[in-house]
Amino acid sequence: MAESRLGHFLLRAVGLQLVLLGLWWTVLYQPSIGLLRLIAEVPFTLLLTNPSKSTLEVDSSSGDWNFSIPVNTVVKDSPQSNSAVQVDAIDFAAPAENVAPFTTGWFVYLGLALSVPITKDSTRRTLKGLLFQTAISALAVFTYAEVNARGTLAHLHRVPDPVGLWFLNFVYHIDYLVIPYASPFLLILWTHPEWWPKLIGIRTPGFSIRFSG
Amino acid sequence: MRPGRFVVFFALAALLQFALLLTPWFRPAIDGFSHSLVWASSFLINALGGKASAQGALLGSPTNGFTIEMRDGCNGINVMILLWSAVLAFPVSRAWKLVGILVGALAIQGLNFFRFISLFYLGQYSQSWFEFAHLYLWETLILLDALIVFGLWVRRASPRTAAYGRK
Repeated sequence: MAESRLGHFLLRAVGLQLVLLGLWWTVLYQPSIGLLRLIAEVPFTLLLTNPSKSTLEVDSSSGDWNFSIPVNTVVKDSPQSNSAVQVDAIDFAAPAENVAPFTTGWFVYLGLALSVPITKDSTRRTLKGLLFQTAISALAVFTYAEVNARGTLAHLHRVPDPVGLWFLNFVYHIDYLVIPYASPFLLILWTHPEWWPKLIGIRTPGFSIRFSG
Repeated sequence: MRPGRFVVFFALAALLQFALLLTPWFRPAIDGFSHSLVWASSFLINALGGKASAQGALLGSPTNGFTIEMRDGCNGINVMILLWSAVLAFPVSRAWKLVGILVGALAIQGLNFFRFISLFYLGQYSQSWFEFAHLYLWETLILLDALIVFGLWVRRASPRTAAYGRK
Protein backbone atom coordinates (compact mmCIF):
# COMPACT_ATOMS: atom_id res chain seq x y z
CA MET A 1 0.00 0.00 0.00
CA ALA A 2 2.74 2.40 1.05
CA GLU A 3 4.79 1.36 -1.98
CA SER A 4 1.85 2.00 -4.35
CA ARG A 5 1.40 5.48 -2.81
CA LEU A 6 5.11 6.05 -3.36
CA GLY A 7 4.74 4.89 -6.97
CA HIS A 8 1.85 7.28 -7.58
CA PHE A 9 3.73 10.16 -5.99
CA LEU A 10 6.86 9.48 -8.04
CA LEU A 11 4.90 9.07 -11.26
CA ARG A 12 3.42 12.51 -10.64
CA ALA A 13 6.89 13.93 -9.92
CA VAL A 14 8.34 12.48 -13.14
CA GLY A 15 5.33 13.64 -15.20
CA LEU A 16 5.63 17.18 -13.85
CA GLN A 17 9.33 17.25 -14.70
CA LEU A 18 8.56 16.19 -18.28
CA VAL A 19 5.85 18.85 -18.61
CA LEU A 20 7.73 21.73 -16.99
CA LEU A 21 11.10 21.06 -18.61
CA GLY A 22 9.36 20.57 -21.97
CA LEU A 23 7.56 23.88 -21.49
CA TRP A 24 10.85 25.55 -20.60
CA TRP A 25 12.64 24.14 -23.65
CA THR A 26 9.89 24.93 -26.17
CA VAL A 27 8.47 28.23 -24.90
CA LEU A 28 10.25 29.69 -21.89
CA TYR A 29 13.91 29.16 -22.83
CA GLN A 30 14.63 32.73 -23.99
CA PRO A 31 12.45 34.48 -21.36
CA SER A 32 14.13 32.53 -18.58
CA ILE A 33 17.59 33.45 -19.89
CA GLY A 34 16.41 37.09 -19.97
CA LEU A 35 15.24 36.77 -16.37
CA LEU A 36 18.54 35.18 -15.36
CA ARG A 37 20.33 38.12 -16.96
CA LEU A 38 18.32 40.51 -14.77
CA ILE A 39 18.86 38.68 -11.48
CA ALA A 40 22.55 38.05 -12.24
CA GLU A 41 22.96 41.81 -12.25
CA VAL A 42 22.56 41.81 -8.46
CA PRO A 43 25.73 39.89 -7.48
CA PHE A 44 27.71 41.43 -10.36
CA THR A 45 26.79 44.94 -9.15
CA LEU A 46 27.25 44.22 -5.45
CA LEU A 47 30.40 42.11 -5.57
CA LEU A 48 32.40 43.49 -8.51
CA THR A 49 33.60 46.93 -9.45
CA ASN A 50 34.92 47.51 -12.92
CA PRO A 51 35.38 51.24 -13.50
CA SER A 52 36.15 50.95 -17.20
CA LYS A 53 33.17 48.90 -18.44
CA SER A 54 30.14 46.90 -17.38
CA THR A 55 30.96 43.52 -15.82
CA LEU A 56 28.14 41.81 -17.70
CA GLU A 57 26.52 42.71 -21.00
CA VAL A 58 24.46 40.67 -23.42
CA ASP A 59 25.08 41.06 -27.13
CA SER A 60 21.66 41.83 -28.60
CA SER A 61 22.41 40.24 -31.98
CA SER A 62 24.21 37.03 -30.99
CA GLY A 63 22.77 36.66 -27.47
CA ASP A 64 26.28 36.04 -26.13
CA TRP A 65 26.99 36.98 -22.54
CA ASN A 66 30.04 39.26 -22.45
CA PHE A 67 31.81 39.25 -19.09
CA SER A 68 34.48 41.67 -17.95
CA ILE A 69 35.75 40.45 -14.60
CA PRO A 70 38.11 42.77 -12.72
CA VAL A 71 41.18 41.00 -11.35
CA ASN A 72 43.62 43.91 -10.78
CA THR A 73 46.79 41.87 -10.61
CA VAL A 74 50.33 41.80 -11.96
CA VAL A 75 51.59 38.77 -13.86
CA LYS A 76 55.35 38.69 -13.32
CA ASP A 77 56.11 35.62 -15.43
CA SER A 78 54.05 36.13 -18.56
CA PRO A 79 55.31 34.05 -21.52
CA GLN A 80 54.37 36.93 -23.87
CA SER A 81 56.51 39.55 -22.16
CA ASN A 82 59.87 39.80 -20.37
CA SER A 83 58.53 42.39 -17.96
CA ALA A 84 55.63 42.22 -15.52
CA VAL A 85 52.17 42.65 -17.05
CA GLN A 86 49.38 44.55 -15.31
CA VAL A 87 46.02 42.81 -15.79
CA ASP A 88 42.99 44.92 -14.86
CA ALA A 89 40.18 42.67 -16.05
CA ILE A 90 39.57 39.43 -17.94
CA ASP A 91 37.07 39.73 -20.78
CA PHE A 92 35.39 36.70 -22.26
CA ALA A 93 32.14 35.77 -23.98
CA ALA A 94 29.86 32.81 -23.32
CA PRO A 95 27.04 31.75 -25.64
CA ALA A 96 23.59 31.84 -24.07
CA GLU A 97 23.37 28.03 -24.09
CA ASN A 98 26.33 27.95 -21.68
CA VAL A 99 24.33 29.79 -19.03
CA ALA A 100 21.01 28.05 -19.78
CA PRO A 101 21.63 25.29 -17.18
CA PHE A 102 21.37 27.96 -14.48
CA THR A 103 17.75 28.61 -15.47
CA THR A 104 16.42 25.05 -15.22
CA GLY A 105 16.43 25.06 -11.41
CA TRP A 106 13.23 27.12 -11.29
CA PHE A 107 11.30 24.61 -13.39
CA VAL A 108 12.71 21.49 -11.75
CA TYR A 109 12.00 22.95 -8.30
CA LEU A 110 8.47 23.92 -9.30
CA GLY A 111 7.82 20.42 -10.66
CA LEU A 112 9.01 18.88 -7.41
CA ALA A 113 6.97 21.33 -5.31
CA LEU A 114 3.79 20.58 -7.26
CA SER A 115 4.29 16.83 -6.74
CA VAL A 116 2.84 17.13 -3.23
CA PRO A 117 -0.72 18.33 -2.50
CA ILE A 118 -1.04 22.09 -2.94
CA THR A 119 -2.19 24.05 0.09
CA LYS A 120 -1.96 27.72 1.04
CA ASP A 121 1.01 26.91 3.26
CA SER A 122 2.80 24.83 0.62
CA THR A 123 2.27 27.63 -1.94
CA ARG A 124 3.92 30.08 0.44
CA ARG A 125 6.84 27.69 0.92
CA THR A 126 7.09 27.12 -2.83
CA LEU A 127 7.44 30.87 -3.37
CA LYS A 128 10.11 30.97 -0.68
CA GLY A 129 11.91 28.07 -2.40
CA LEU A 130 11.73 29.84 -5.77
CA LEU A 131 13.34 32.89 -4.18
CA PHE A 132 16.15 30.75 -2.81
CA GLN A 133 16.54 29.03 -6.19
CA THR A 134 16.78 32.46 -7.80
CA ALA A 135 19.53 33.47 -5.37
CA ILE A 136 21.39 30.20 -6.00
CA SER A 137 21.16 30.67 -9.78
CA ALA A 138 22.42 34.25 -9.60
CA LEU A 139 25.35 33.29 -7.39
CA ALA A 140 26.13 30.28 -9.60
CA VAL A 141 26.36 32.54 -12.68
CA PHE A 142 28.61 34.89 -10.75
CA THR A 143 30.85 31.98 -9.67
CA TYR A 144 30.89 30.66 -13.26
CA ALA A 145 32.18 34.02 -14.50
CA GLU A 146 34.69 34.41 -11.67
CA VAL A 147 36.11 30.88 -12.11
CA ASN A 148 36.42 31.31 -15.88
CA ALA A 149 38.24 34.61 -15.38
CA ARG A 150 40.57 33.14 -12.73
CA GLY A 151 41.25 30.18 -15.03
CA THR A 152 42.21 32.49 -17.88
CA LEU A 153 44.39 34.49 -15.51
CA ALA A 154 46.13 31.33 -14.28
CA HIS A 155 47.09 30.49 -17.86
CA LEU A 156 48.68 33.92 -18.34
CA HIS A 157 51.55 32.69 -16.17
CA ARG A 158 54.48 30.89 -17.75
CA VAL A 159 53.88 27.92 -15.43
CA PRO A 160 50.32 27.82 -14.04
CA ASP A 161 50.06 26.75 -10.40
CA PRO A 162 48.75 23.13 -10.53
CA VAL A 163 47.07 23.31 -7.13
CA GLY A 164 45.36 26.57 -8.07
CA LEU A 165 44.17 25.02 -11.35
CA TRP A 166 42.88 21.95 -9.53
CA PHE A 167 40.95 24.16 -7.11
CA LEU A 168 39.41 26.18 -9.97
CA ASN A 169 38.47 22.94 -11.72
CA PHE A 170 36.90 21.69 -8.48
CA VAL A 171 34.84 24.87 -7.99
CA TYR A 172 33.84 24.85 -11.67
CA HIS A 173 32.74 21.21 -11.43
CA ILE A 174 30.55 21.87 -8.38
CA ASP A 175 29.20 25.16 -9.74
CA TYR A 176 28.46 24.05 -13.31
CA LEU A 177 27.91 20.30 -13.22
CA VAL A 178 26.37 19.79 -9.77
CA ILE A 179 24.65 22.91 -8.39
CA PRO A 180 22.30 23.66 -11.33
CA TYR A 181 20.94 20.10 -11.27
CA ALA A 182 21.10 19.16 -7.58
CA SER A 183 20.02 22.44 -5.98
CA PRO A 184 16.25 22.06 -6.66
CA PHE A 185 16.32 18.59 -5.07
CA LEU A 186 18.15 19.81 -1.98
CA LEU A 187 15.85 22.84 -1.74
CA ILE A 188 12.66 20.82 -1.99
CA LEU A 189 13.70 18.61 0.93
CA TRP A 190 14.22 21.75 2.97
CA THR A 191 11.15 23.80 1.99
CA HIS A 192 8.71 20.89 1.69
CA PRO A 193 9.22 18.52 4.64
CA GLU A 194 6.16 16.56 3.45
CA TRP A 195 8.48 15.17 0.74
CA TRP A 196 10.36 13.17 3.38
CA PRO A 197 7.48 10.97 4.62
CA LYS A 198 6.35 10.38 1.03
CA LEU A 199 9.85 9.38 0.04
CA ILE A 200 11.13 7.41 2.97
CA GLY A 201 7.91 6.45 4.71
CA ILE A 202 8.71 8.14 8.04
CA ARG A 203 6.51 10.97 9.26
CA THR A 204 8.65 13.67 10.82
CA PRO A 205 7.82 16.92 12.54
CA GLY A 206 9.52 20.22 11.89
CA PHE A 207 12.10 21.02 9.28
CA SER A 208 12.61 17.55 7.94
CA ILE A 209 13.26 14.01 9.04
CA ARG A 210 14.10 13.59 12.71
CA PHE A 211 16.68 10.84 12.70
CA SER A 212 17.37 8.54 15.55
CA GLY A 213 20.92 7.94 16.70
CA MET B 1 21.00 12.11 14.71
CA ARG B 2 19.69 15.58 13.88
CA PRO B 3 18.95 16.89 10.40
CA GLY B 4 21.68 19.53 10.74
CA ARG B 5 24.26 16.82 11.36
CA PHE B 6 23.01 14.84 8.36
CA VAL B 7 23.29 17.93 6.13
CA VAL B 8 26.84 18.69 7.34
CA PHE B 9 27.99 15.07 6.88
CA PHE B 10 26.30 14.92 3.47
CA ALA B 11 28.00 18.13 2.32
CA LEU B 12 31.42 17.08 3.63
CA ALA B 13 31.18 13.61 2.08
CA ALA B 14 30.11 15.08 -1.27
CA LEU B 15 32.84 17.73 -1.34
CA LEU B 16 35.50 15.18 -0.39
CA GLN B 17 34.41 12.75 -3.09
CA PHE B 18 34.24 15.47 -5.75
CA ALA B 19 37.69 16.67 -4.67
CA LEU B 20 39.06 13.13 -5.07
CA LEU B 21 37.27 12.67 -8.39
CA LEU B 22 39.13 15.65 -9.84
CA THR B 23 42.60 14.62 -8.69
CA PRO B 24 44.97 13.40 -11.43
CA TRP B 25 45.39 10.02 -9.69
CA PHE B 26 41.72 9.15 -10.20
CA ARG B 27 41.64 10.33 -13.81
CA PRO B 28 42.72 7.02 -15.42
CA ALA B 29 40.13 5.09 -13.40
CA ILE B 30 37.34 7.51 -14.36
CA ASP B 31 38.34 7.46 -18.03
CA GLY B 32 38.56 3.67 -17.96
CA PHE B 33 35.10 3.49 -16.40
CA SER B 34 33.64 5.80 -19.06
CA HIS B 35 35.30 3.81 -21.84
CA SER B 36 33.93 0.55 -20.47
CA LEU B 37 30.41 2.04 -20.40
CA VAL B 38 30.78 3.08 -24.04
CA TRP B 39 32.10 -0.34 -24.98
CA ALA B 40 29.20 -2.07 -23.14
CA SER B 41 26.69 0.24 -24.89
CA SER B 42 28.17 -0.63 -28.27
CA PHE B 43 28.11 -4.34 -27.40
CA LEU B 44 24.45 -4.23 -26.34
CA ILE B 45 23.34 -2.21 -29.39
CA ASN B 46 25.07 -4.65 -31.76
CA ALA B 47 23.76 -7.67 -29.85
CA LEU B 48 20.21 -6.36 -30.25
CA GLY B 49 20.57 -5.86 -33.99
CA GLY B 50 21.65 -2.20 -34.09
CA LYS B 51 24.91 -0.82 -35.39
CA ALA B 52 27.42 1.04 -33.25
CA SER B 53 31.16 1.20 -32.78
CA ALA B 54 33.10 2.18 -29.67
CA GLN B 55 36.41 3.99 -29.69
CA GLY B 56 37.57 5.18 -26.28
CA ALA B 57 34.88 7.54 -24.98
CA LEU B 58 33.21 7.78 -28.40
CA LEU B 59 30.18 5.83 -29.54
CA GLY B 60 29.58 6.14 -33.27
CA SER B 61 27.05 5.04 -35.82
CA PRO B 62 28.72 3.45 -38.89
CA THR B 63 25.60 4.15 -40.99
CA ASN B 64 25.40 7.96 -40.70
CA GLY B 65 28.59 8.97 -38.88
CA PHE B 66 26.80 10.32 -35.80
CA THR B 67 29.08 10.17 -32.76
CA ILE B 68 28.56 10.93 -29.09
CA GLU B 69 31.24 11.24 -26.44
CA MET B 70 30.89 10.22 -22.82
CA ARG B 71 32.37 13.03 -20.74
CA ASP B 72 32.40 13.83 -17.04
CA GLY B 73 28.81 14.47 -16.07
CA CYS B 74 27.58 11.90 -18.61
CA ASN B 75 28.94 8.85 -16.78
CA GLY B 76 26.58 9.14 -13.79
CA ILE B 77 29.43 9.57 -11.32
CA ASN B 78 28.24 12.99 -10.09
CA VAL B 79 24.84 11.57 -9.13
CA MET B 80 26.46 8.47 -7.63
CA ILE B 81 28.58 10.73 -5.43
CA LEU B 82 25.52 12.63 -4.21
CA LEU B 83 23.68 9.39 -3.46
CA TRP B 84 26.67 7.84 -1.73
CA SER B 85 27.06 11.00 0.37
CA ALA B 86 23.45 10.74 1.53
CA VAL B 87 23.91 7.04 2.31
CA LEU B 88 27.16 7.68 4.20
CA ALA B 89 25.57 10.52 6.19
CA PHE B 90 22.51 8.49 7.18
CA PRO B 91 22.78 6.83 10.60
CA VAL B 92 22.68 3.09 9.88
CA SER B 93 25.13 0.25 10.31
CA ARG B 94 28.15 -0.07 8.02
CA ALA B 95 26.67 -3.15 6.41
CA TRP B 96 23.55 -1.20 5.42
CA LYS B 97 25.68 1.66 4.14
CA LEU B 98 27.55 -0.84 1.96
CA VAL B 99 24.24 -2.19 0.65
CA GLY B 100 23.14 1.39 -0.12
CA ILE B 101 26.37 2.19 -1.91
CA LEU B 102 26.32 -0.96 -4.07
CA VAL B 103 22.60 -0.94 -4.87
CA GLY B 104 22.71 2.82 -5.43
CA ALA B 105 25.60 2.51 -7.87
CA LEU B 106 23.79 -0.24 -9.77
CA ALA B 107 20.53 1.75 -9.94
CA ILE B 108 22.23 4.93 -11.15
CA GLN B 109 24.46 3.19 -13.65
CA GLY B 110 21.61 1.01 -14.92
CA LEU B 111 19.51 4.06 -15.75
CA ASN B 112 22.53 5.96 -17.05
CA PHE B 113 23.30 3.09 -19.39
CA PHE B 114 19.77 3.29 -20.79
CA ARG B 115 20.14 7.09 -20.99
CA PHE B 116 23.36 6.87 -23.01
CA ILE B 117 21.89 4.43 -25.53
CA SER B 118 18.66 6.45 -25.82
CA LEU B 119 20.72 9.60 -26.49
CA PHE B 120 22.70 7.76 -29.16
CA TYR B 121 19.46 7.12 -31.06
CA LEU B 122 17.81 10.45 -30.23
CA GLY B 123 20.86 12.35 -31.52
CA GLN B 124 20.47 10.68 -34.91
CA TYR B 125 16.86 11.83 -35.03
CA SER B 126 16.97 15.44 -33.74
CA GLN B 127 19.92 17.53 -32.57
CA SER B 128 17.63 19.93 -30.66
CA TRP B 129 15.84 17.21 -28.69
CA PHE B 130 19.16 15.50 -28.13
CA GLU B 131 20.45 18.68 -26.44
CA PHE B 132 17.30 18.92 -24.34
CA ALA B 133 17.34 15.29 -23.25
CA HIS B 134 21.10 15.16 -22.78
CA LEU B 135 21.65 18.33 -20.79
CA TYR B 136 18.41 18.72 -18.91
CA LEU B 137 15.77 16.00 -18.91
CA TRP B 138 17.95 12.97 -18.25
CA GLU B 139 20.01 14.83 -15.65
CA THR B 140 16.83 15.56 -13.71
CA LEU B 141 15.44 12.06 -14.10
CA ILE B 142 18.67 10.47 -12.89
CA LEU B 143 18.68 12.73 -9.83
CA LEU B 144 15.08 11.74 -9.21
CA ASP B 145 16.18 8.12 -9.56
CA ALA B 146 18.83 8.73 -6.89
CA LEU B 147 16.23 10.24 -4.59
CA ILE B 148 13.92 7.24 -5.12
CA VAL B 149 16.72 4.78 -4.46
CA PHE B 150 17.65 6.67 -1.31
CA GLY B 151 14.00 6.67 -0.18
CA LEU B 152 13.56 2.94 -0.80
CA TRP B 153 16.86 2.18 0.90
CA VAL B 154 15.90 4.22 3.98
CA ARG B 155 12.50 2.46 4.10
CA ARG B 156 14.27 -0.87 4.37
CA ALA B 157 17.07 0.38 6.57
CA SER B 158 14.93 2.45 8.96
CA PRO B 159 13.77 -0.38 11.28
CA ARG B 160 17.41 -1.23 11.72
CA THR B 161 18.17 2.49 12.09
CA ALA B 162 15.97 2.67 15.15
CA ALA B 163 17.68 -0.34 16.70
CA TYR B 164 21.09 0.96 15.70
CA GLY B 165 21.16 4.36 17.20
CA ARG B 166 18.16 5.27 19.37
CA LYS B 167 19.09 6.62 22.76
